[in-house]
Amino acid sequence: MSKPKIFNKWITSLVIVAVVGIAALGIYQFGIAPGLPEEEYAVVGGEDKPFEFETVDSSSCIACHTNEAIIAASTVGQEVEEVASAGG
Amino acid sequence: MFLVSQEFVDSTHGGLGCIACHGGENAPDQAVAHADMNPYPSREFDANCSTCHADVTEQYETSIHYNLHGMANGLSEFADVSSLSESPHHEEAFDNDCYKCHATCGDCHVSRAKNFSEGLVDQHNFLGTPSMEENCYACHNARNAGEYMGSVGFGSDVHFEAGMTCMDCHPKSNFHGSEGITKDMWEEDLPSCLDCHEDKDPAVATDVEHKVHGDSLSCQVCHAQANNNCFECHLDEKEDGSGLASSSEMKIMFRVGYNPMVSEERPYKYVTLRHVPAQANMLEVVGDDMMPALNTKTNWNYSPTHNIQKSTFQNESCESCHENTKIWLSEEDFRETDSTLNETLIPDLPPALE
Repeated sequence: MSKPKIFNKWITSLVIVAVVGIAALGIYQFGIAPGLPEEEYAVVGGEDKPFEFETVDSSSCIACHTNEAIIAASTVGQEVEEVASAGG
Repeated sequence: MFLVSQEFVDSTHGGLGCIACHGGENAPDQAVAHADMNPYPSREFDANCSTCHADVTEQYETSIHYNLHGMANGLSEFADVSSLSESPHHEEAFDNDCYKCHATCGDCHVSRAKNFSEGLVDQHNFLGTPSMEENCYACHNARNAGEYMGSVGFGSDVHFEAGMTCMDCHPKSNFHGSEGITKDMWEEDLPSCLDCHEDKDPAVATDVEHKVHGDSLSCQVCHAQANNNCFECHLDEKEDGSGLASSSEMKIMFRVGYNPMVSEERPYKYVTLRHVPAQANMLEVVGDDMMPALNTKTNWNYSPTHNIQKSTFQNESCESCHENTKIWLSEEDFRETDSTLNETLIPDLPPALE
């Protein structure tokens, strides 16, 4: 069985595989399982903790504030300069 | 840098969830999530931190890091009032400038002070022992921390060079407060050089220098280097009209004079002095005659200068101190806006060497 002519050049094969892969990931993220990453909390309330306490669902906060790409794009705080003398 | 590490998320504090302390809403849209969000939850430490750390928060209001009683009471005395609340102008000036430096739990254990450069120290991880470089230095950079670390003056402290931090000498009560309200830091349980250097106590010392001088000279007179002195301290309107800001002229000097506050803990006759930011005209932007009692207090004060070295220029030989007229406080050091009471600190020159 002969392979399609489109795969005769290795670079074309590589591009086709990459496009199909990205499309599959996109369909999964936006079609099959849309939403934010699951939050993962450490087990709390164990013997080494003073008492049991409830966690407050903050999955959206964590999704952004642990995302390297979002942090890298942020300019928050960059304009703040160290004070040469805080007076104390 | 605004970045929360996975290590923090997995920690006990992280396990509570952001909203437990910061408020806001668990929503993917930033504007919705940040509505009613409190970026500084430990400013309400009674409502937040106290849930788990009541043993600390219950007495934190007694901490001079929180209440700044040293500065408030000092200003009250210069203003000739028993409390700043008696004088709205002084209270306004204090709240607008001085009080910005008070510390919350987060300023020491999570982030850097807002008045310095803010930002998280270590990706929101809580530091049980604060970072000397990022936290203590943030507020105390102009004098003690800067001198200790060598960024202010001519050299660092031998204890810093040995790897010691502020917390190696200062007990927790200096930061968290204790059972009672103190007037200023001098009423706190401050560290003493003799806590470690017991053999230098003049009562037991075997070397001539400490036996002869130990009772009359503070340790800094022989072992401190020059310190940073603030002159011409002024409150002025900010250029953008957003409030008041202070400015001053800094000068590295080394002056020894009579002890302005002899006490049981600090009985020395001679001590190193530092010119503090308090002068007759410093609050003239707020009102006239704001320092009516200036002359009842000195504004050259006792200085426990934090840049100790075993060998200094003044202890190189007997002559380098006894015959060195440059290190003793004199009238030439005074300015027109200084307290006239400073004259009582000018020492007689030390005995001539035979």
